[in-house]
Amino acid sequence: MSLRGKAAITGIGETLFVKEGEKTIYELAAEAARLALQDAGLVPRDIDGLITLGALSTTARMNNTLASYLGIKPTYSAEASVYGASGGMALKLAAEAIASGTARNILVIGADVNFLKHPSNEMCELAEAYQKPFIGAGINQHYGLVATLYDHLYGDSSVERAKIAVMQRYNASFNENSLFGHKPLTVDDVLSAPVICSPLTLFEIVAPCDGALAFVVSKGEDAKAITDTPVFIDGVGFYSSHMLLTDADLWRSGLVTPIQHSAKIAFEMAGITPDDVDVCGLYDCYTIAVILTLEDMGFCRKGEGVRFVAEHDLTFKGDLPVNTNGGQLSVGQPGDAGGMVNIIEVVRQLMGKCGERQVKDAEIGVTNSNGGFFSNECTLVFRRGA
Amino acid sequence: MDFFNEATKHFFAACEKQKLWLQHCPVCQKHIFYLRGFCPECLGPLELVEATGKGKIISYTIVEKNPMDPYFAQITPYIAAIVELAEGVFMYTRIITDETNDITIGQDVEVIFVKQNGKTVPAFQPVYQAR
Ligand SMILES: [Zn+2]
Repeated sequence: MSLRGKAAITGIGETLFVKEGEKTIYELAAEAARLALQDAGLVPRDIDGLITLGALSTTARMNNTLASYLGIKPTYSAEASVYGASGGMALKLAAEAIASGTARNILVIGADVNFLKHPSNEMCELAEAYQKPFIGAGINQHYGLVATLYDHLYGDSSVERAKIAVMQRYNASFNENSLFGHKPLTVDDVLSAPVICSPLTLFEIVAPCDGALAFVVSKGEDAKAITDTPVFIDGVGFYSSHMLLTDADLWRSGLVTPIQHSAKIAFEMAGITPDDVDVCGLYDCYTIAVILTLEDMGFCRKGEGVRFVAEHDLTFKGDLPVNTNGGQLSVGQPGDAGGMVNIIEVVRQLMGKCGERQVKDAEIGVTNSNGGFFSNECTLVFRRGA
Repeated sequence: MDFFNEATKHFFAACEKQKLWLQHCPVCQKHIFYLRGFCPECLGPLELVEATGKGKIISYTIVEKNPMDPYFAQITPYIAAIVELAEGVFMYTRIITDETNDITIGQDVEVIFVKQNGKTVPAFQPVYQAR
């Protein structure tokens, strides 16, 4: 079933992103929800659905507490739990629930507090058994492994990876709500920074933060009555190929990630090709992820991502604007809600609310959210409704 | 709880005896790693088999810092790798060598056993062809 135009985003909200604040995850989540509701001009009794994201810092099932806290009595309540892909997945679930008629206005909320400082007691038993004793806990190793093979197969990507971090930092200099927007960054800074997991240096890796983001997703036919700036969800696609990176198909395919599948599903549903895209929100937990996403979404062929980045301007002033708020690399990563940092900016662009960094005449936007180590991928296609 | 399933408990017990166990499905004629309760393709029973211990490096990364793991944070820098065994399965592992700069993708390696954080696990060392 095509979901094209069946649901639209009618309100968005984000809290301040801070390295370590005083607010609890519930205070942050509720604040983002209030901002999104006010943006849509709705109140809790208008909301009949709630979707939260599994958080890295706390117990799961926040949807239960938040429904009560916000005074919502939902006919649809769910949690998206596909790690970093959860932001995309939650909006996909919302569009599906609305298209099926099970809810009319769904509040989608992602929140976390800095998980390095507030780690959850929850563990992943599979990684505990087959990763941690062998190479140590952690995520960085995985992206180092992927980047090493990328360079081996397709040539040195270090300068272009650095360029991604630098262009996003430029974007962030126009975004006050970013951890690092006030700190200029050069390619030399990135290249000369300490290596964390070779070949990745410090500035190629996200920093966790506290923060929350929220979206109101409404029935497509109601959207224009609710807001002057609806953004329609025209395509949704998800694909998951593995849990541990040792089980990934990408080792045998020249690093083709599941994004190739999720993007194909979403683009076909929306009836678009990469040529139609005006603005992108690409999951950027690490610089190498942006290169692989550009390739597997079809902006260029496999192995040509480095040349693509060298030849294109990915800032909000450029020919393919990517992560115009600075992305997670410059804004910060509020746990598994990090994917929403990429998504909310694309929606804001299509609402025409980006101020100085507004991309002129932006009409079609795409986002990708990546969970695990290219494990879970969720691609969304958005269309300006105004 | 330091095991994922019953078969995993036996895997680590074998490591203590310097043996690397995989699983094999006699119906699908395929090797399986990590260890499961049954074959993920045909749902039939799996047999434990000892690996040859030969493999090659699929990719690697030199871990200079690991803030997520107190034990591994102390042993940096170390080489984290994914190795493909001769049997066609992949595993996370460390590469143990004094010649870190000589490590390459595709390089032949063989299993050794190391004690990490109180647990004996397989690691791999380069095999250099005689010239
Ligand atoms: Zn079988």
